[in-house]
Amino acid sequence: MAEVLCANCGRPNSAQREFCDFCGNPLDGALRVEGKSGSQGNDLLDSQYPASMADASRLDNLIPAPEEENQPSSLGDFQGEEILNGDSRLESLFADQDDDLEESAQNDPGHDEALNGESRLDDYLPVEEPAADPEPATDGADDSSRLDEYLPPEESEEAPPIDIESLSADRQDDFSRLDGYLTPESPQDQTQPDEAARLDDFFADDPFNLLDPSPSEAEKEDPFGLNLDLFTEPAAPGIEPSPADQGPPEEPLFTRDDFLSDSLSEESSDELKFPGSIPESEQPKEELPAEPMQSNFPEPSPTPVQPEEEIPPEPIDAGEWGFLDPSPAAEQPEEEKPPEPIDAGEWDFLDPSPAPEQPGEDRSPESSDAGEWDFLDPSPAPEQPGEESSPEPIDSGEWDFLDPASADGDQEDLTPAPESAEPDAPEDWSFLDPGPTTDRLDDTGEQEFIAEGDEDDAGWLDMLQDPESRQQPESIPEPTAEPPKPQTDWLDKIKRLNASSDLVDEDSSFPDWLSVTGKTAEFKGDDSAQGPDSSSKEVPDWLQLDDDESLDEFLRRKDLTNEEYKPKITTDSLDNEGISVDEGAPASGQSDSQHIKFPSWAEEEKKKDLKHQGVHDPGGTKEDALGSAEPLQVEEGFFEDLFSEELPDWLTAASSKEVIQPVGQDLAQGELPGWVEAMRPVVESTDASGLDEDEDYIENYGPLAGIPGVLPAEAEIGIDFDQAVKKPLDLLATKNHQDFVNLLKKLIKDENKSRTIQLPSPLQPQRILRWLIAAVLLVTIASTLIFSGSVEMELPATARVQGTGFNALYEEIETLYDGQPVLIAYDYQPAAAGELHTAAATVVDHLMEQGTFLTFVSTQPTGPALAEHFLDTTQSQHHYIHTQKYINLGYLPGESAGLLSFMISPQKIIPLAYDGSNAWDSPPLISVDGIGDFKMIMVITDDPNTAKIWIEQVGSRLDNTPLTMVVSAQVEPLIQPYFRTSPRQLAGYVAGIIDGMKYEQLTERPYLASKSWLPFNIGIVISVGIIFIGGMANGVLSLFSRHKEKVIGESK
Amino acid sequence: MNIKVKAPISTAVAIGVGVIVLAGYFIPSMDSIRFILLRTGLVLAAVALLVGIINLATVHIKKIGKESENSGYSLILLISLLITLIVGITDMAQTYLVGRPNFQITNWVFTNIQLPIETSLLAVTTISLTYAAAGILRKRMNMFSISFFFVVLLVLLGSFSIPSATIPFLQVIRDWILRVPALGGARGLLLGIALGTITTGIRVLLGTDRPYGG
Repeated sequence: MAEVLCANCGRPNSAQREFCDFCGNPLDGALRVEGKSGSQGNDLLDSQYPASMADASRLDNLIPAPEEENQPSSLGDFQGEEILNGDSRLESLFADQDDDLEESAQNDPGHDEALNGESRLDDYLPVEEPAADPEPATDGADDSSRLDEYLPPEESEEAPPIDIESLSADRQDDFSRLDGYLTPESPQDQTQPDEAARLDDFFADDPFNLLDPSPSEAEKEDPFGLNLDLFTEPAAPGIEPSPADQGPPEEPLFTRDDFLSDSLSEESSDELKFPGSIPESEQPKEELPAEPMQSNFPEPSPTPVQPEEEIPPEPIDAGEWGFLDPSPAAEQPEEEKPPEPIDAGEWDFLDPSPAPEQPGEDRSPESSDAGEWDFLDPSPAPEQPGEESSPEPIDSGEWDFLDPASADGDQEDLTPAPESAEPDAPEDWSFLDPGPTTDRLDDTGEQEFIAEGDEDDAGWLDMLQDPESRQQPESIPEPTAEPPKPQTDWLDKIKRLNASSDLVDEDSSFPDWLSVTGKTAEFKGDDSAQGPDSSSKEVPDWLQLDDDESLDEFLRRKDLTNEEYKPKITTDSLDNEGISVDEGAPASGQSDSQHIKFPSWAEEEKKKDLKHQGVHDPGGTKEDALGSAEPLQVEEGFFEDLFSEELPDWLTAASSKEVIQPVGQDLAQGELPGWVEAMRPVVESTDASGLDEDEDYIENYGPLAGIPGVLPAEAEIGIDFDQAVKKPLDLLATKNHQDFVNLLKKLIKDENKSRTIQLPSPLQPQRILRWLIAAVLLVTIASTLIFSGSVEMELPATARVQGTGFNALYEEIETLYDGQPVLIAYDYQPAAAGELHTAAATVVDHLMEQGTFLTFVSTQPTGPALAEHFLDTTQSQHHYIHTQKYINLGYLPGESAGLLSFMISPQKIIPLAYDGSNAWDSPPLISVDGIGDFKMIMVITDDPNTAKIWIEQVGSRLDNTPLTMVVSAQVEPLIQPYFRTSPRQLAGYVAGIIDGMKYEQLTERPYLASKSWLPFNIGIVISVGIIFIGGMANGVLSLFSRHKEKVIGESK
Repeated sequence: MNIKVKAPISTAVAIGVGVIVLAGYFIPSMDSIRFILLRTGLVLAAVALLVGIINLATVHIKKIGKESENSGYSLILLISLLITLIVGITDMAQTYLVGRPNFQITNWVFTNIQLPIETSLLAVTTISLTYAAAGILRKRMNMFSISFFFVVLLVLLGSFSIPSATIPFLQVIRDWILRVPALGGARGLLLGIALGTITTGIRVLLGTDRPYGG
């Protein structure tokens, strides 16, 4: 059977009870217990607490009704003080439960001590703890020492490790139940009618609000991130901390500044006597054992911490504890310790202000693992965490930007109107509806706090407490039209809420950059001018929505509502403010500020512009509203831009504007409008063609179809240019103009002419002719060569010998004798070898006959090989041996430069012979120092340029050495000028086979030239015949073709 | 700032070397300097020949890589080059090892491959020239072409010297053509070449022409 545990006294009540039978406390947020087993997931609590407390994880169940917060709690009784602030609820719960715990924890030494908050910390310890501790703590044992098991692993050798996995699982389970508490899916939450109150209650006790978003020194000092400072919070106001629990005075983990920063009001802080607020001078100083992590947790026991009682430190990962921290904070708020270092990453952004409604709750300077949400953290300066988190006017200097009233510098003038200008701001927090909690709107402490002008700091609470203002959707500005998205993610909900609640005045507790609605100042002023109805405390419907479905439904309705009110609000607001649309809404669309959201600085500029334009709020509250609300604005789309890649709203809004459709766009192309069609002339003709007598054309296509007499818009294909050109021009043109005209006519005329392309001569006949010529030459010459040996041929008699080149050469060779060095240059290509070998064979033979020492050199790469080949093929009968009768110096590079250098010093240029032997060791060459020491130089070449180089570079430097040549027939005309000079630059030469044959006749030793004379002559004859016949034929054909062309040209 | 150092340096070197070599013709005492420069030029020319061979091989290797239409010829060329190189190196090694000239393989390659090929190419040129001479009047019928045509015939016929068929005046005409018009033309041509060479030399010495670049 379900029972309800009273959050105040902890005693079970019937489930049908609304108030506790024992203490009269409302059972709205009390814990419901199914049977006696308790929650299965609360293993940790089950092991430490009785069944009645096992399922006390739900924070709201543990929090007493707000009416009872002002009542002295049991803990207060125990402590002998009354707790008047919100913390008393937590403490009273502790006190009530302590009564039960005293019996259940008789065996626990920690419970033997005064039931302070720290003793309950043992309940968070793992179940295995008793077993893990071989020596349970005695009376003097400090319960806080059990924290030592979470200390660094340096001391872990003294105790067995704790099952971290199970512990983490337990913590995880607890944390999940905390999530269940925070989320509206909790079925119990849906049963509570006063949602806003419960939300308020939640935030009042929300440990996340207690978290100081700014990092503190204590956090930095905690290398493990265990945030043990949470356990150092005072157990209860007025409790004197034991010296054993006090941290080292030089490193106070909880200082007065921290306390002040955590207090929500100066008044409340004065009422509370937190140990942490005790000056250091008053706090008993006691040296704690050398523990890496010390706890300032107030401990009534004066006994110091005994090392042997310390729980062996577990090698606990700080990350695991960061994950586990929230669960104890949510499940056992009765323990008066500061908020656990909850991994409030998901909730940090929800903490726009540092829990102003909970002045009594200590806000630990320890920052939670909120790294992911630090950018949303409104705390600007971590160096003053206490002041940042304090909503007090005194300490809220740094939070002035959160205070709309303080922005104007006058909080006293702040009327409730600005608060009422934020009617729908709680929508942003609707998803945080914690479910069934006690209505705390009657909390006097909070009311006092709000009435003291700190409403702005707690603006987001104001919006919860001011439901009446939320009942005025007419004053809600139109948000940016954003279709509801079927998203269930909480962040998307925030976005949707932001988008749908664009009309909503921003929560004044939000800084500018956190403002999710982006409402502009003028609308705030407008809303603020709507009168005192904003002070209504009626809770809107949206606050009663707990689940996603209802929330989605609400969002959809909200979006539709916003769309409906959009135009009306815009104009009305402007009219009410006395701002004409033209004045107050320039081109930028100032009246559409709900569409275009400006950043804070832009809003400031806009506000200035309004002031300059004389715009004033008729109610006198506009400027106040501007000053109070504007600093709390956040550009709309901040979260959208932050979490999505969508375009900003102002851009989407601009793009979503309707485009004016041009007139006539619906008309189909090619169709005439009806009125044009009606004006269209109708052809009336008598004949079948439809043409009148004086009309020769009627249009058939296009819009002019059927209209006669129009100019045809046809291409100028059919135009006869000749006729057009022949038409006389009435222009006065000069002769040059006429020439240009004629030229243009010719060009135009030639373009129309088709050129007659003469087919090229067929290749096949040409090839046949070539092959025919080759065959004839080959057959005749080969036959003559074959049969020349058997045919005795009479050589022609030389008509003239004197003054010829071969004769001069012959005479030069005749002057040589045995052993004289003769330089022969083989500077011809192998292709000319047939002719030159025939011509030079008799000359070289003559030199060998004279017994000269031959030295071969060549400026051609193939020259040395040709020389060897020449000797092998033509002079083999002389049996010339290399280095004995001749020397082959090889290749001489550099052409003219090589010849010049060779002329200067041949031994240095070519020191080695062709075969690598010493070229100049031969006796004939020993006396050769220069090229002039050779007795004769003979150049065999087929290139006139080479012959010229030899003559110019070498011949000019020769004094007594004759320069002779054996050249091909084609070179003869070019070397004759050097021969036919006086003195001769060329001593003699033999040109071709003809001169070779003549030279042989001089030497009377017929040789190769004589042998090849007949074939040579036959070849000449055949060649001449082919050339002559072919030339004549081609000449005649050419004449005929010319005549034909001439005749054709004349005929044309 | 972009300073072109290459141009003035190369120009100065070219002009300086040219002036020294030219002065060597007139000043005997400068023969030694001129000889050094000429000798350096010979080495560079020999290296240029090797560079040319490497360039030839590289070009044909690229042609083979491109698989163009004539890549087969490039392949043949490279194979021939490689074979010739191997043969030459082998002969050189054998010659230096044995101590006497032994270029039989190289001579065989030259005599049986390179020489016939080049001679055949010249023979083909002879046939082509003959065919061109026969068709010259068809392509162009004017005084110059007609004169060229008949001069060729006269010189060829004047070269023909078979006693039984010799036409004496043709040889006289041929000799006259060679001694008078041809000689005159050749001299004029040589003089023109000489003048052109001198002009070019002066331009190079003055730096007006920079065929070496820059």
